[in-house]
Amino acid sequence: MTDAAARRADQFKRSIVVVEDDGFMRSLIAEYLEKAGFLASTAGSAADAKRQIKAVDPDAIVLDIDLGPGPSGLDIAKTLNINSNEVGVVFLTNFSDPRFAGYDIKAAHPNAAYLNKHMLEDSSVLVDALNAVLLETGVARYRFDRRVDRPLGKLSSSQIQALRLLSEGKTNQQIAEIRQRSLAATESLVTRTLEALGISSGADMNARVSAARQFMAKVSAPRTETR
Amino acid sequence: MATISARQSLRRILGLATDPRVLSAPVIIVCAVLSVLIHLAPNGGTVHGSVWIRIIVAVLAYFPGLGTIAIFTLIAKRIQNESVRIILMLSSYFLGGAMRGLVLSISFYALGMSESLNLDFRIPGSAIPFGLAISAATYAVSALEESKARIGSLRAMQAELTDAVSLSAEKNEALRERTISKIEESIQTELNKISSLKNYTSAEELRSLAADVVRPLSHTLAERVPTWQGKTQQSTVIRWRDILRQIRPELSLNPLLLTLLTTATGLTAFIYFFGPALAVLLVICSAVAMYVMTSLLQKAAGWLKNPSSLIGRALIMTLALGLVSVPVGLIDAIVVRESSDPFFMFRAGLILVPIFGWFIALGGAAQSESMRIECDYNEGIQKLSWLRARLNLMNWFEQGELARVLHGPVQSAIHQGIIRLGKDNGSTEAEILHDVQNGIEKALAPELRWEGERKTCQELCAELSFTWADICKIDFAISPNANSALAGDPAAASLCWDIIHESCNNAIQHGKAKWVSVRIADPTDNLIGIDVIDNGSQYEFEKKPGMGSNMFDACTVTWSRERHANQTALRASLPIER
Repeated sequence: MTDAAARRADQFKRSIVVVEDDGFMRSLIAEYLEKAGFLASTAGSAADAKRQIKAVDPDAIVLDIDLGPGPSGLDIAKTLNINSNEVGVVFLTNFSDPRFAGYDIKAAHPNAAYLNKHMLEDSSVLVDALNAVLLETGVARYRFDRRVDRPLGKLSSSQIQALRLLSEGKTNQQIAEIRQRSLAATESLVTRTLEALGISSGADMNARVSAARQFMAKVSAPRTETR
Repeated sequence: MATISARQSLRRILGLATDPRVLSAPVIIVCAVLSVLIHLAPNGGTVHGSVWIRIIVAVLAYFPGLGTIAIFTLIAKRIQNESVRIILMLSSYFLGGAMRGLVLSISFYALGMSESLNLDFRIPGSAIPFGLAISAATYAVSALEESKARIGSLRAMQAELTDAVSLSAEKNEALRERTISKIEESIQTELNKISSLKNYTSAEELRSLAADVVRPLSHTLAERVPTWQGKTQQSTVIRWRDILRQIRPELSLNPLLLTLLTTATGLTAFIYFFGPALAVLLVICSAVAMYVMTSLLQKAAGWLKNPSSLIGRALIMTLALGLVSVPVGLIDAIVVRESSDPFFMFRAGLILVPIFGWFIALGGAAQSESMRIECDYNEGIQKLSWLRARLNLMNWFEQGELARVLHGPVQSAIHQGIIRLGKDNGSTEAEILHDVQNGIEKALAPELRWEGERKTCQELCAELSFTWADICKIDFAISPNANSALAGDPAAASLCWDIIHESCNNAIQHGKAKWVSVRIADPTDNLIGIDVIDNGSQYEFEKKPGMGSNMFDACTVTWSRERHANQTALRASLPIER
């Protein structure tokens, strides 16, 4: 292929910005994408991402949520969502479920795909997810955070919230006060949460301890104490 | 301003003087004693006979007056308007005093100790001085009781804070265990994922890596969580001995109160013995002389160094109060030199002025003592509030850092190992595992964590401002002192950043703000203040995801979020180590 032909081919390649603070992962993802026929550029922080997005006007971005100290991947997604919604977003993160960290993915970018980093063992998943967000078809298949087999996937957002407070050692009364709900409604919520976890809500405190243990075993999201 | 303050001060004195504690045992006992003292004070020789009978009659005569006051107190309880209540209660004191005068007149006349009933002298002569004496006694006792109640509530607040601090310390202890189990469980989860790898030996090596490296490091990490043992607080009571220690001559020498009380007390005697025209002259002379003398002595007492012994101060105070009455008595004696007993006021003043002075001093001393105790409590409460917030902040910081390390660098290191083991990239398994080990070590080792990556609050704010520049103008001003203080305190800096980040996000996303202003001023007294003001619309702060008010309650010393003039201002003061 001549240089001109190569440039023409590049012109029609879909441009992707990879935003990832870990250098190894960043170059690995870029390498995958280049091999899959995308034009990849990289950024290690939110500010770098902003510059890259302005410079290359990408078709989509692959975003890590936690970019270390400073603005997060969610900030980038929100600014993109407010400014222009034609840029596709694929979240690629270590969080199995953003609810554990109190993140609202839908509010950040409603049409984003959500993948877990361990899925990179098979690079085709990332490529397929990018194609889905770019063509806006079948994105739901790449919402790992909504899969029923994800940890605590059967629990609703309120139940996750109750479980988080329960794991912090809060009593039903304290949970009711924090959630600004009645004690009766909170007791019902806690019972339903324990049932959803398959824990018998016996008379002793073991049920609560078991629930807290399950939560801590499956979740260790940042700032869980305070959210 | 001074007028408002003086008015408020007088209103406070009147409020205390008309308190329902007028029916309390201390006030009743003091008033019974006063009833005797006022009766035995020179009264123009209208009663004769046994002193003991006069004492018994004076004590008994107080009780019909007390009954009258009790009825008025019951009525006053239903009255909402404070001014009306004060007027009603003061009227009841004077009416009670009049009742006492009536009973004294009838009793002495019936016992043959008086030539006539003398109602025209006895009733006003009892109503005014005794009414004022009840007011003074009620003021002194109420001031003391009110101080006790205030100190009680401060003590309760301190106990609550002590409990909160102890609880935080306990939580930190539990956190050690949880931290370790969290790390182990997180690593185990990751290791389970690699069990599907073809090379079983590599997976085993990664498992042993977790046991030999990660676990010991996680223990080191957990030990960074601070611990603190709550101190048992000793209960505080206001003791009479401590109140008396606060007595100083200048407290009793209150020119306005002393002048009002003594001239009002003498008014009826002046009218009865010297006629209305001379009474007016006597009142004017007494008031001016009393006010000037008291003011001079108060200043003199202020200049003098008070003796350390209570008896010495009490003597000086009694002498000073007696001295106040000397020029008044002498001037009055000159005015009424034609009368049969020109030194009648002189003798009466020597008894009445010290009585009123002592009551004023006791009330003032009670307030001084309670203020001293309150200062101690407030200082303790400030320290405890700071400590509670700091413990929670450290707890929050360690948890957050740890969770972020586990989710970020630790998982990334293991993911890298898994991916590299699955790929043929020229590295040996041993090299890959060595890299994984280094990655985890670096991520978990406290001294290596975020090494070189820690950005200042100013740099983080600049990044945030740049990220949102197209949508919202975020301007920030962080003083150089604040910036360097935050640089030396990663936990406070982290919370500071999270507050700014969350507030800006909420203002932009939920409030649709077009500008946000972040201000961090110089730290003062181990506190650093953050102001985040935005022009976004109102939204329900509590119902949005992110940091809730719980975190603010737990980790800040004070915080508020207010809406004013279409702007939302969030203010928080954070505990900082300097």
